[in-house]
Amino acid sequence: MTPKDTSSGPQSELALEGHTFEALYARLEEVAQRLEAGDLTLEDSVRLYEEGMVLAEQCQSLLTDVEQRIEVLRQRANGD
Amino acid sequence: MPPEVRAVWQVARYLRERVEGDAALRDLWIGGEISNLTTASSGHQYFTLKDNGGALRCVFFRNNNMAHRKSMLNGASLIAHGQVSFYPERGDLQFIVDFVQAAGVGALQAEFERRRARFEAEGLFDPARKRQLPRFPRKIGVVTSAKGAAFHDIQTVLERRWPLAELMLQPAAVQGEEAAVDIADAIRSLAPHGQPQRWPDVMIVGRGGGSAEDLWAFNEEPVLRAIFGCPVPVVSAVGHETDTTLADLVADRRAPTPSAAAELVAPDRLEVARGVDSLLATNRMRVTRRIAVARQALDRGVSVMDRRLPDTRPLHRGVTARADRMKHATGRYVSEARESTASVAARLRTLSPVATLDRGYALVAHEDGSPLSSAQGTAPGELLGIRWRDGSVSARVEDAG
Repeated sequence: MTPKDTSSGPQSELALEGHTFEALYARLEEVAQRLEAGDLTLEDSVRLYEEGMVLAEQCQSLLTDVEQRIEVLRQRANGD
Repeated sequence: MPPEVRAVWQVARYLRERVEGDAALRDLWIGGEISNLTTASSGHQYFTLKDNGGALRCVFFRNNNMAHRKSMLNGASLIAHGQVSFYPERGDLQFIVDFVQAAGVGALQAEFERRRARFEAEGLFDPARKRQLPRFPRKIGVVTSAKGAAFHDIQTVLERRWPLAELMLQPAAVQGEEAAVDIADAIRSLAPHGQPQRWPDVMIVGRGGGSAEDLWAFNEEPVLRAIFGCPVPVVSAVGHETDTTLADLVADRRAPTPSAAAELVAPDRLEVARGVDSLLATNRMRVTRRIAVARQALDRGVSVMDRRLPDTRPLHRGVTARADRMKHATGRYVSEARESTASVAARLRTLSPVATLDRGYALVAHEDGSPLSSAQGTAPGELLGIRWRDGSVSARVEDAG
């Protein structure tokens, strides 16, 4: 179980286009809520729906195309 | 060196210093039987703790004894925690008791209970200060042994469930003399105060299974204080399901094992993916409904417009009638004009020289066509044109006038 230090590498990046999964998911939920409120113009609701589709796709790709990253911090007392 | 006479108070004070300065007489548990128990009006209790070989005078102050009144009976066997003290004014050596447990309880359990009572009173386990764990952690801190199975278990679970999070392992000795301080230091260096950019979103503190003695570090005050002071939520994961430590009580959430802690700190990505899909499906349903609503509104609008349009049929009829009248009037005008034109033409015809020729006359003109209306206008030799009804001839003048 030797944990390897993979401190870099594009695949392990959490963010996609500068957004964390958390931010993408929160926006997706917001989109759903706004669509649910139903006080939108037809144009706005279609635009929001399209945004939701893009967000969902980004979320799904973050959930599937990611590798675990492990950082072992220094032993404090014993030095490195 | 000549002998020296000392004052009583000097010796008494010396004794107190010796007794209270002796670590072996502080923070100790003594087992024995209660006798001569009295409860003063102040609420303090005085008794003797004795066994076959000895007896100690004890005092149990009111603020400490309140929770133990049921155990405090003459003849009861118990173990008492406290410190030995010397009271110089009275020359009394006494054991100041602060906690008691029934004699059957093991020392470790008794100490656990004593600490639990103490930290509970201090508010370390207050449910009101428990924090919520983040929903989608980006960084998960782990304080445990770098060698044990605990980290491997956590890593395996998170690799499957939530690889989006980075794992930060801060190794610490989890058993032995140094463990308590080491764990406390590890917690503080993983989430250093004043440097929130270095903090993980959540921290797991724990170790795999072991004996009660092996897990004891997680009942030690430095660990409890570090968890209590940790700026990010802490999940404890010590030993197996049946083990309870004070660290579990201070932590924001308690997991029965390290693997369970890993499941607690992060969602399952498959579940989250299903959640994303269902949000998308819900969105699709809502936008479809919105489009249906718009279409209905459009249909309604069209039918309202239809109903509100003016009836143009009378207008049509009016226009037709007017057109007919116009046509009629125009026709009459045209025929009248035709009639009057014909009569004018008839009159014109009677005045025309052509009509005169019709009656048998002839027309004489100069060579250039201009009419010759007088005999005076000619000269001998001039060529004249004579026109009849049915043709023309040229003629030369023989004799003029």
